[in-house]
Amino acid sequence: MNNGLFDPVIVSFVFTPLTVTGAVLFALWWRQIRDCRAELDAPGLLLTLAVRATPEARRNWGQAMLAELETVHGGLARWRFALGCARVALFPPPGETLLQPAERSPVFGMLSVALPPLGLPFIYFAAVILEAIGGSPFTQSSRWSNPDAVMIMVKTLVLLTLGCLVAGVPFGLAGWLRRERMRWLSAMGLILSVCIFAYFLTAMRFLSGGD
Amino acid sequence: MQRNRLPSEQTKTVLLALAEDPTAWRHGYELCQQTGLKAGSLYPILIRLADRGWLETKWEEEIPVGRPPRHLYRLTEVGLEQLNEIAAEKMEVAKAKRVRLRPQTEGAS
Repeated sequence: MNNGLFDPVIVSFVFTPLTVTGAVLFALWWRQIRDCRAELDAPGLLLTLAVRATPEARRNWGQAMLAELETVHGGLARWRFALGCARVALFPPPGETLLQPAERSPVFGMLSVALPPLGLPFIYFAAVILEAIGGSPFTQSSRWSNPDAVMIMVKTLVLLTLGCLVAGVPFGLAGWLRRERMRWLSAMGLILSVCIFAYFLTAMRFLSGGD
Repeated sequence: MQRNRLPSEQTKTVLLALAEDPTAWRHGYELCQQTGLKAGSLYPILIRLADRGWLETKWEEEIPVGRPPRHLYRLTEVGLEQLNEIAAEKMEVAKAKRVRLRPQTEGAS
């Protein structure tokens, strides 16, 4: 396909926030596991990190899962076991001792970090699909037989994208106010959302000015 | 306050697996293999059972070479009593179903 959607400038504009966020999270994760990464394989590292985020009252269950993983052999079996256990370590069943606000699972914090960088790729893939099925106003094509339907789809997708871009603010605030575990995630989500939205506005101005 | 909810089918499977040899200490991966449950389903069940006092836990006493000690599990007296109650309830339900079905079966023959 020969249109603006595959222009390297557009592609890099769309995927930069996602790549940067992924790199920052990976760097934080790598730093957190520095003391055990020589001894453990990838499933072990993943579970170790998840267990570090386990609430204090459930930490012994995290240690139990880690010890059990040492007896699981075979790549696939280890991955399956580690992934299942990581989910339990991050979101253990609530108990009576876990009802203090400080022990809440970081659901909102995770959403606040995950959603903003997904906003731009989301609308990009929507534009690619629209183009593939018959043209979109984004690429100035007139092959679509029902332009009104395209416009409704595009408007919906733009709203969803904007929703993703700014989602870090409400989710970050909610995570912070709920006193979730790993509150730094909520703070990161808030900052990320503001930065990516500003980046989006600046890049759009730059791209539209360049035409 | 302790919630008195009926255990799920998966929980019953775990209880039955533990009840096969109530005196033996079992470990998580062994229970995964025996019950066919994934770790992500098994451990929340074990945690809840331990919270309710149905499950006794301890760490392996003989520290093995080359790996950390494992966490071991077995049913408590309370757990065994609860399992017996569940089995009794199940039998009652099955009995009641048979009684309900009998007139239809007789009518058909």
